[in-house]
Amino acid sequence: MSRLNALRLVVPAALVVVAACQDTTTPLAPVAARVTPNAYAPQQVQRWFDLMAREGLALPGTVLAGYDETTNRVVVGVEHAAVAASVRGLAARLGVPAAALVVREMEPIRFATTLRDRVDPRIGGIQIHFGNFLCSMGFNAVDGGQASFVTASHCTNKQGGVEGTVYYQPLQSVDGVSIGTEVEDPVYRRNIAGCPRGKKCRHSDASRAAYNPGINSALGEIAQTDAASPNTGSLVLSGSITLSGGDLRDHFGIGETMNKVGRTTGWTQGQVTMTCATVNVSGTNISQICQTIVENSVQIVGGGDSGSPVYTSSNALAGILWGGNSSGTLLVFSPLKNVQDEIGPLQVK
Amino acid sequence: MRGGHGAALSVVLLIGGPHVPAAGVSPLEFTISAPARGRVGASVSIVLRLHNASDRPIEAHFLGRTIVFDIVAAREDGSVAWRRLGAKVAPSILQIRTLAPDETLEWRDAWRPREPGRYRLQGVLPSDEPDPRRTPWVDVTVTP
Repeated sequence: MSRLNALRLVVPAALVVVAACQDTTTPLAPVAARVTPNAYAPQQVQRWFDLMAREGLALPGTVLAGYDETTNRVVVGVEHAAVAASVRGLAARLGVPAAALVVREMEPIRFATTLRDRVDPRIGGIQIHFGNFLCSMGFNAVDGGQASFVTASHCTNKQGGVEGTVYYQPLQSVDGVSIGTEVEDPVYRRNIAGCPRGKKCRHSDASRAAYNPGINSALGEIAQTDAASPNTGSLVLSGSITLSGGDLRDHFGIGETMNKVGRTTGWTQGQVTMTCATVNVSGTNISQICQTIVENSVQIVGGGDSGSPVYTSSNALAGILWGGNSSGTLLVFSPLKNVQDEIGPLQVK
Repeated sequence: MRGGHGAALSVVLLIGGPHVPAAGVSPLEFTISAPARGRVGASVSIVLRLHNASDRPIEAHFLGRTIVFDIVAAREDGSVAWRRLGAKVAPSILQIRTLAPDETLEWRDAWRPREPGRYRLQGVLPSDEPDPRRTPWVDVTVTP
């Protein structure tokens, strides 16, 4: 059990903290010379803790206040040294002995950014919003010198055909400045090779939107969550993965591991079980030709993951996720090769 | 935050979207209606309803451009006799829909049982939650 487990913590109201019964490996209190537990009565130190929590955390730049039962001292966390001096001065004025107080510098505690939050610069795998719908951004691309992002064709106002769909990130209600506008979404056609009778088809459920001026995007970067392993459901953004390039196969190996990151189920992983399959889209008269099926025994896709980037174990971009089964254990993606065959050559890193 | 002595404590930052309802307190009532009896080969009409029982608008998330719903018919031993969606593949787009106070959304389908027996029916509404919204089970007895 770490030192933190013996701390009673109070943080400024602007910070979000939840108490939970779990261990942590991050020590907050310094390993310092211990005050003899009997130097002050614990009840007295707790009264000082109350004082410092009430008055000390009102000082700008303070992070938290705690009572460390193992050293019988009050701990105050501050963002930088200048604040430490203020805290010590305040403690002296309140009658808190210096020997009963530990002031240490620490990182401020912030809301964790998730795949559903505003992310700047924009990267693959984060939430995008249009109309009354949510999807995931696929990947950034440059097409003819135009900074763009690719998402699913059905993540536009009308699947197939360009209607100038306007996108927001993460929600229009959160950031009213649109990030981009749909510029490419080839129409679905009946008379193409491999299209089932009575269906309209394409080889990729993909569209392209041009970024608006002033919108930052990071070419070749897709979201990385804080999960140590796939399929945990974590949506907390820890950074980004740099794509190694584009994988331009349209047939993938059966059993090959594929990853995806999207706003609903985060980083998930499964194995290719079918390659170059023609897939009927439930509830529509659309079929997608030469698609890749990925499966797992646990959920790997959910509503809102449409458009997510799919990538190989070597971080090569493999395609765009567009659908799944009802239990979320099977996802379908359009290979990047098909996307480029329909939209045109794309620079993806 | 000031718990008992020796209580394990750690700092955890909240995650998740803004639309996560507190467990068990959703003002949206999701129900299923079906006849108590059916016959082999005859359609059993099933109606799912999602009702905003509160006096304020409620925003909810649904799978699909047209809202996707599922119905499960299970035998007495729990095995699935029929599932509306089966292995169908649907686009993973998420729809944001606000239900006005007292507004009800309704979905209908029919199940044609193949064997007599006692079954249980449940409606399912997938969204972006790890567990989809589910109706209570209702019993249907199917006779030859």
